[in-house]
Amino acid sequence: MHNTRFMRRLLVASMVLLAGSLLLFALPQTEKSTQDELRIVSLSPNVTETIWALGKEDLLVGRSDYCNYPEEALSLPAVGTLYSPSLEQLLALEPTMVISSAFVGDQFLAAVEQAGITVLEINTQESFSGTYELIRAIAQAVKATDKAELMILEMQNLIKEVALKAQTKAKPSVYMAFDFGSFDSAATADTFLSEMVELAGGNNVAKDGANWTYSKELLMYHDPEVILLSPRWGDDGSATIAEFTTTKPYSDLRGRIEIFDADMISRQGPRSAIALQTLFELIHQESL
Amino acid sequence: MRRPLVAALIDTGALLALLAIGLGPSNISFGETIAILLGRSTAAGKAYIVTRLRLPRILTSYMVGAILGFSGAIFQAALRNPMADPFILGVSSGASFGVAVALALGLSAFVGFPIAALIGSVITMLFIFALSIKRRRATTSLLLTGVAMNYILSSAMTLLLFMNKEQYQRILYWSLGTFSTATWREVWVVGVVLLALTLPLGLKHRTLDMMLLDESSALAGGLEVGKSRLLVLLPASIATAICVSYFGVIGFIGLMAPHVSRLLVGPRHRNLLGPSALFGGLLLLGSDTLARILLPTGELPVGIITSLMGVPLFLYLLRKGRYRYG
Repeated sequence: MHNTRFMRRLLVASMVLLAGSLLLFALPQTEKSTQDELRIVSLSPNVTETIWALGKEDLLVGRSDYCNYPEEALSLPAVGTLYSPSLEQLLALEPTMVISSAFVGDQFLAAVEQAGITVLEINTQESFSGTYELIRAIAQAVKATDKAELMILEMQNLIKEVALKAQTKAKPSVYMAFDFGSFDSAATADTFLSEMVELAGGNNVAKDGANWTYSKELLMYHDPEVILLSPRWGDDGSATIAEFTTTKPYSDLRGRIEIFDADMISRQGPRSAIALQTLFELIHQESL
Repeated sequence: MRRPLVAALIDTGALLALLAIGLGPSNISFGETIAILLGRSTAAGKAYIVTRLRLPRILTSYMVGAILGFSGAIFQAALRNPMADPFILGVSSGASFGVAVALALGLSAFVGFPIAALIGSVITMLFIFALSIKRRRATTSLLLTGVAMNYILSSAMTLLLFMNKEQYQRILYWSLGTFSTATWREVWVVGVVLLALTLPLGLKHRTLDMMLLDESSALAGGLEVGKSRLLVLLPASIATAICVSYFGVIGFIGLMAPHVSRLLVGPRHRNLLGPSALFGGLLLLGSDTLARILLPTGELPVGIITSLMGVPLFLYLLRKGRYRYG
């Protein structure tokens, strides 16, 4: 009797042990299978926007401080700015891939790579063709190439529509300001934005300049018909307009002043075509 | 020696100003510029550029240069130190810190950079004076307190910038210095400051000479050193602070102009103060003109050019001339 009870107990115990050890083996395996999936940290606002537009936001586990669009992106943990991300915060998110465009330092990316994480660095030209390249490169990484091609086609159609409509309009002179005061910063000839202003049917007065810098004297000389003003950081535009219109010599400019969303217009990404449409509407004061 | 030199400096300044007003990125010929100045041009846009942009800019840069050069001579005498310049008692770091605080707190839209800078620099300056003026060996104490304050304020500013990286470019641009913001209002302000500084202090040249002696000899000569020192340093600091708050930190002129003048006319302040101011004005006007025209369509920070141009000239004169400090 005692023997059988003992045997039964032994059996139960060994079953429990077996089940436990099976469970122990099984646990890391399930963890491993999630590791095969992509876990992406995006270090650029336009990369974050693109991943979202491709419907692959579930793959994102982290972002940079500057990734603020779409608004849902703000709920992701941030790892710092483009210029000084925190390697420790980034590694804590256990990503399998880090995607960056401009500004992130090579040393930082090398350190990420050394930690065994795939780094995808996208440095495309500042132009519409560069935008498509960027979208395609990200689409390939997140396996959404079909959707990307569709998106690009839609963008190209919208751009064509804007450009055609712009050709039927008179070309007002336009100045696109990013900063004013001690030094003036504008969309000069060598910028993607100068190309956009021209496509939207404006005559960019700063296209004789380079390197984002311009002089007050030339601005006053051209006295442009439309002045596109980027709001100062943390301002919705009203304080910026107030400052611009009360500061000499800007207050003597005669052109119409419009505030533009610098985030949307200057980021190369899925919103670039809509940005062009917005630019058209700001310059010509009519909807497409 | 002195009168011909002063005349030569004034003539060169006038010539340079005439040249500068004809130069600029927009396409206005020299003949047209003269016509505009004589009121015989009808091109409103070009007239605006010459009379409302270039002319105030030329006048302010010259006068600020003069203030910095003059203040430099005062500082070097009152602190008895050839390394002293108008920024050594916290004026520039206080101003930058004031701007950084205004930006970080989001106050810049309400108070404006010049006011924030002026508050920052005057508070810093008064703090340094209060800490050290009544101590024995006040010059050393002032200098060291000034240097220490410069360190702590620049660290505090860097910290503020690090926490508010979005604003980094704005404060950097402000601190680099430029006269592109000069209008006629600034011409009047700086003009009044220049007169209020140079006329009363120019008469104190004997006091400045005595300050260079050691304190007991000065006392024997009937000079109450501590009080006199405060009386010359305070106006020079405030004048410098006003210039800095409008146009940013423009280094080297306040250090160099008095030294170059000393090489030419010797150490007596009766001869030294005028050329220091005139030479400072000349150097800053020249630098600002280059800052305006070197890039085809943009602006360079003027402080970069004052150092790039001034240092080689300074080193050359230092090797050639017979230098006497006191």
